[in-house]
Amino acid sequence: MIATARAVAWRNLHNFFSNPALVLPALIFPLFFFTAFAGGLSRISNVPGFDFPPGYTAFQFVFVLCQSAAFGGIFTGFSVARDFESGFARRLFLAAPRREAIVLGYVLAALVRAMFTIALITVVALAVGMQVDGSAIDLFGLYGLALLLNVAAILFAGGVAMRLRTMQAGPAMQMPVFLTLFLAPVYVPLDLLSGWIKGVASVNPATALLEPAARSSPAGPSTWRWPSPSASGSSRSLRCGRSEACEAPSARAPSAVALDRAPQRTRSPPPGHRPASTAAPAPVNQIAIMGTVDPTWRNGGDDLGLHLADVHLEDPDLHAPLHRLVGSSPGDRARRRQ
Amino acid sequence: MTSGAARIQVAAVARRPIVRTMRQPAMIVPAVFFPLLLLAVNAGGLDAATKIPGFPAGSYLSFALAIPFMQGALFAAMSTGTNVANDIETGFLSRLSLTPLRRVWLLVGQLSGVLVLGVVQAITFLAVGLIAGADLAAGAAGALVILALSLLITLGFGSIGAAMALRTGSGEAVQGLFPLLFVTLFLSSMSLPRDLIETGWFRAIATWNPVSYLLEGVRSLLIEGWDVHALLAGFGCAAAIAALALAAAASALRTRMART
Repeated sequence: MIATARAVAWRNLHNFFSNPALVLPALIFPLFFFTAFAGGLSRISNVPGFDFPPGYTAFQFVFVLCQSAAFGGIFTGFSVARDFESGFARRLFLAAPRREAIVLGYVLAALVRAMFTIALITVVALAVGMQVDGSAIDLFGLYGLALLLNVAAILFAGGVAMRLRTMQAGPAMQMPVFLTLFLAPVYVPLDLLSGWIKGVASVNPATALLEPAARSSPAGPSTWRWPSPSASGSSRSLRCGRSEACEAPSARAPSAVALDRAPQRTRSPPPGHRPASTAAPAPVNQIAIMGTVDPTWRNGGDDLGLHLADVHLEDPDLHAPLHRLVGSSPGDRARRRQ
Repeated sequence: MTSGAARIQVAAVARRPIVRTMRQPAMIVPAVFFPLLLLAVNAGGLDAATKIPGFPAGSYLSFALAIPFMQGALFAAMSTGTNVANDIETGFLSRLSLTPLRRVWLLVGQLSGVLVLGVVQAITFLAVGLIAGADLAAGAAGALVILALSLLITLGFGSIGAAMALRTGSGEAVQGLFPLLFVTLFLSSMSLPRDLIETGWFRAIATWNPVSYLLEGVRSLLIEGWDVHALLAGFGCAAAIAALALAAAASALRTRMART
């Protein structure tokens, strides 16, 4: 089975890489979309409510990545249709001991084609200054998601090609994927869409690919950034809950105490308490601290356990308010005691 | 040659591409449907762009309604090129060359089909856009000017397709032209006004790209009213493209007929 799959994949890849008419569109179109969207629409990042710290280039990179992965699968589906039209597929069916291996071969070819395109897009994106805040694990997830999408696309397109067995089935392979991708939040996050397209995007499965998972990856999860070493202290670790989960690695010391397990145990602030943020509360960014602190912080951070669940963030960056509340250095603690 | 004879020649040659275009839904539907589909997607997806300070329209639909006219022109180029290439491949052009038909009328006749398609496209785009809620700041007279500009643009791009087909004699070569034309559309002020394009090199390309001025000519009538500067630039670019492309097509046809 492996040998058959390898042979089918090798033939497909050989045809692909030795034919400029196949290679160039596969490379040029994603780059072209990336250039047109990231270059021409970068001012979109100035729209109020557009909250994607790494910038519009990274925002569009995710879409182009998913699009090129999906279309890598679709174009391989075209190859399947072409094999049927030329009669090669019939000979292949006669020769292959297990037909699943043929499908596997096409999937392998699609994956290699997608990886080739994705690598080029990544290089170009980095060359033009795309900011990547995510960790290696985030990026692994992003590329893994793109490759999964590629596999789904080749299975879909290959299925259509094997059913209809003609190149004229091209639109039947291409259009559903094209529409699904473009009816997702392509240009702005879902929250900034309005009208009918927001309704469609809300139920579009491609939104689930682009929005919470993929687009958090180049940025790092949500707007969270890892606390700097100076702020994190030696044994303090915090885990914060927001609309998207984000956490720092917990280094719970045996003597550490749980401050709060919000939202179950939120406490009301004492009368006359002034919230850490004096601005008008904006509950969209309400956070709850569920982490642990070193015991030595109990006294210094006496307001910590009382009010952390009620913090309202006016700054999308979580770090600054946490810094204000928890303190980060002996100097901070000394000031708080005074 | 008298004008009556010319009219007869043009009518005889034009009838065929017009009938061929109108009889084939596969030539009309994508050329009308896809630009409208992209308009719907872009107008919904980029509506937030109207919140950018300095954005010239209150509705992105009104701003983006100019785009289908250009996309329709791209389809016109492909349609004309494919038809002419088909005539070459099937030998129809060779048979025409045996007739006493003048080359210029042959070219005009071939382009008449795409002009009919251009009229259908322009009326449909404008009607659908207005029904969907787009503005037409220049009023009814503006609609007529949009139609005229749209036809001139269609003539120019149709001539590019014809020139390509006559030069190469291959439908595949004409298909290869599509990405190039598509690039010129995307590297223009299609999605945002030029002064709001943040990326310097992109703004420079958009400024040099004549497609930007074609878009801005149509767009000015939709969102601003009568902007003489934008209209002059739009009509000037469209006329220049049409003249150059027609000259190229005529030259290619002369070569082709000599070969035949």
